[in-house]
Amino acid sequence: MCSTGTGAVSTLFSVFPYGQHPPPFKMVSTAVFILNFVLFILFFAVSVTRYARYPDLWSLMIRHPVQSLYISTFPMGAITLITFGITVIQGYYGFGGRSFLFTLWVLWWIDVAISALCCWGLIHVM
Amino acid sequence: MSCKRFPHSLSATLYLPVSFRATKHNHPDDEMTSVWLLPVVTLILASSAGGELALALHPYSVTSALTTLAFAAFMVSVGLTLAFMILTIYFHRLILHGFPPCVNIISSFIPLGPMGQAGFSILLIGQSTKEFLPVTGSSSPFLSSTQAGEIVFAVSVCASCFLWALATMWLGYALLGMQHILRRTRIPFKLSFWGMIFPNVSCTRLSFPAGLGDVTIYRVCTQT
Repeated sequence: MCSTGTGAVSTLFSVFPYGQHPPPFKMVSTAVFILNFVLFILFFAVSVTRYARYPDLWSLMIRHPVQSLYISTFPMGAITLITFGITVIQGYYGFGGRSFLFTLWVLWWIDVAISALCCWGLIHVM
Repeated sequence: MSCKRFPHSLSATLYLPVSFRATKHNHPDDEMTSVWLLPVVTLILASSAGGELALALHPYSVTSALTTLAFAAFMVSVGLTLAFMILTIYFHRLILHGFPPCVNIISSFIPLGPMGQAGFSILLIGQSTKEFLPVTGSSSPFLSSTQAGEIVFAVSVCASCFLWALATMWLGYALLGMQHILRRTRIPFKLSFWGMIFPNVSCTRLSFPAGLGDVTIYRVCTQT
């Protein structure tokens, strides 16, 4: 169920790409982003610990017809963080600049790889 | 409150041979829900982030921006096509077995996700193409064309309008399903409710630009 938790994180973020015009929206948006970020790290750590301590669970989970599908919420959660980085941190606050943007770009490539793995891999084992 | 699964009396005939490839799972027809869309939506989501990234990267490096854009276009094509296929199976399930029972009905909102998000992603691709083309010094007839960008933009707006319409259609079915289940049982408030938020948000997000074709609002959306 941990992976479902990560799915929760992914959905959480999306509430706030709306923070558009007024600054308070941006603040709320940023607050939710921080919450999302903390939750993402937390659930990621919990999941890693869980599968590191009980490696058998991993194969059980992959074989579960429904639970396995929820792994794909991990790259989705990560992508919401990246999107926030591009649109608000970089685009609105103007933080970072070139190196920050290229860091996000690298993270995006990693995310693309995991997404592709989810898409091809999970449907393959389905 | 426990959600009892449908009886498997017809299991032998109902086992859907969903042999995308190696089938390590058995999937009874009536247990299929739109949760199957999740692995496919990841690609669409990565694609929409790619569109935003391409716009942001363009001032720094044209090549990186174009590469990102090409990958975004690839991913949204693959993701959307697979999503359509899975939605067909889902539709088949809805007709043969009715709505998913009990709290699983929440998953009927998931189809809004790929439709809305893909529409948004396609719109971003159109916007980026319009900005990037013509690429100076390119020998490719497409990249150096003065009209190609405008055409891709216009086509992408149409495509996202189409997807917006489909998202609205799925919203209709989801609401019908909700009222159908709510009239019969109470839905326990569970973790599955998370599944409702993301699809609805991506659908709403698309509703701003595609519904109106308003480029000003759209620009705000993409923060360019």
